Amino acid sequence: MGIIRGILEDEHERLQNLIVFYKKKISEYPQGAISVKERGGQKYLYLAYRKDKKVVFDYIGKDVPEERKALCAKLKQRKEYEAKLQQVKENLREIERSLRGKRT
Amino acid sequence: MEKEHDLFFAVLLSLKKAEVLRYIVLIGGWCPLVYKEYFGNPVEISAQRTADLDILVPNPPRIHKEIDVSLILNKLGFDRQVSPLDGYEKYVHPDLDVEFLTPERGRGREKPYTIDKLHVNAQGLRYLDLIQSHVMEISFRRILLNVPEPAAYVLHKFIVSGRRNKTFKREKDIETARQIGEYLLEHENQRKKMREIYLGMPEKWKKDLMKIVRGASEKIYAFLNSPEI
Repeated sequence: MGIIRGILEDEHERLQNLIVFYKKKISEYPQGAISVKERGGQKYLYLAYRKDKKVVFDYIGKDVPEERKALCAKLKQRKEYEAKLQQVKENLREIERSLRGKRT
Repeated sequence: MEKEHDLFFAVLLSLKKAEVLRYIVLIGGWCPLVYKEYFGNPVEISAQRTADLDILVPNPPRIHKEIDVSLILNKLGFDRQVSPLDGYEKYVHPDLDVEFLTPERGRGREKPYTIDKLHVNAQGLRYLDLIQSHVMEISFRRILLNVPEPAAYVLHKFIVSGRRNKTFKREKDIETARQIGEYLLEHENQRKKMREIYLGMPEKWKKDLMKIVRGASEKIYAFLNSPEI
């Protein structure tokens, strides 16, 4: 096996492992957006996300700043992992093109 | 390729700002890029890149300041990945992985070395003493950093190639060492350095080294075998 091909295959393996890593990270964080509903003069936090074409609202609790901040941070973290996963997939496609010998 | 270079540079810059670079040594696949610039961009040294950014933490680590390197890398988009098998950690990113290494001492150990002051773990590896004992400070794109003396880098690469499991990694190590090594032989001060480092190596290491060099580079083999030495 040539050195260049070996490097590409090694990078391919690294990226595939990264996909598993980021998918696991993503699954550890909540998905969706914050939704606030008002009932009887009180505000309540919900997590809204799509499930089988339906929008589901999961109750989180009373709208207190700490709770909202913590949830925002988790949603932001998930988005960051999702962006990294996309980047890894793009890099992987590029490596696969090189391994097949196609020019970009 | 640009992305990796940018990220590599961003890591160096952040470590420089945090004043970490004085305590650590850049080793591994990114060194040829630094050497290439140091020697005035000769064509003989290829500006290859690798997805691994290896950093040597001297053993014992003489670090006088507490710096959270883990946090610095996290801010640059790296995530800490810990192996459940042995506890070794690396910092992963879509474009680059950062790993900390340190010379293995005594019988060795199966768990990582904790570098408390830097908030990271380092993996112990044999032969890194050769590098730790021969470090030079270099200016790379206006960043002062520690790298192995090029001659030490070459001899170390040859030796560790013999411990590689993957054939292409072995071939890559040998090719890198051959390229830089033969370039160094054209410079008297570098020949002198290579000679000094070779003579200071334990006999066992010399034997291991020569077994590999014999098949890799006639020039380097002849030089290390010459009466000059």
